[in-house]
Amino acid sequence: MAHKRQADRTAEFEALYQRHSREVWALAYARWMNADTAMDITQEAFLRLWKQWEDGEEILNPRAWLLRVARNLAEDYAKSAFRRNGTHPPQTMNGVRSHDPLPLEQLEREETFGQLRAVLEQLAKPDREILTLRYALDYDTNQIAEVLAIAPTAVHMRLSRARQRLAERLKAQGVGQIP
Amino acid sequence: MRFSEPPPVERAGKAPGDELDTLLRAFFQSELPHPWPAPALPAAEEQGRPVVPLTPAAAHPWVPVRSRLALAASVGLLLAGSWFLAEQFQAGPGDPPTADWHHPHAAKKDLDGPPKVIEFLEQGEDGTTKLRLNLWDRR
Repeated sequence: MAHKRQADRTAEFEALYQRHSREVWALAYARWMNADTAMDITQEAFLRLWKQWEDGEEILNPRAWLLRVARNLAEDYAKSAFRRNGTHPPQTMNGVRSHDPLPLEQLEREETFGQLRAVLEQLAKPDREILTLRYALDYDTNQIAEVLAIAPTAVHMRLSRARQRLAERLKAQGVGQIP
Repeated sequence: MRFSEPPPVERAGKAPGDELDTLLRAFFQSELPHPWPAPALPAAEEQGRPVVPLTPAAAHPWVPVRSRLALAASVGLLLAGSWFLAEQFQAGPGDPPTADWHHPHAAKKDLDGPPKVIEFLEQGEDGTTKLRLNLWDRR
């Protein structure tokens, strides 16, 4: 009996992970612009959900709970030991993906992405969130509205303004297309 | 009017939509982990499942030795108890037991001490139970 309940809970946990882990990752990524950090935060958020269940806590809306915890974890990350111990913050690693020699086209691509990353980091966090959800997860207006808990019209306006601000900055730096 | 290659400023200002979409999509998609990692489930013991050590004998090599020592001690106690009881009965049914019978001055102590009392329960012919007391005065 207890074994079956445990199996059901594990299955539910994995289903939640499949449905929402990318959204959680997107919000954490938008905060730090670092894929690995975002994944660490995502895993930690889901681990905390599991522990809440273990403690007998009922979570009525796991999606909203996970997104809220991920946001808090992403903010707390600034105070974590990882950064206190002198490890380079993510922005110092712009565009650095590998030590292997790359073909010219790949190098140009990495350079363009590095410039884009630098510009994205200058944007406000809400702008980055909406852009990450739109372009990393291919979410439409309604899906973004659900994740951010705002009206679809507000999503449309924010997305438009975020793209406009980004385009202006990219234009100023001469970054326009992928090599 | 056609331009083979528009000036960079014009290009960026004129058609930011498609190019910007393509650039952003390519960038963010490259940032997504591929493949997407599995959830990091908590350890087995935290999920309430019993944890079975892989090599229990190797993990606790003293366990069999300890159990054998306990067995040997039990057998030793059993033998000592049997020997003690046998010694008690060899003292004779008429002699009263003494508390310190191995002591060299035991006999003297018994003579100096108060008279010994032994109690008996007897069933009479009429079915009544009587208490009989035998007093030993060694003097």
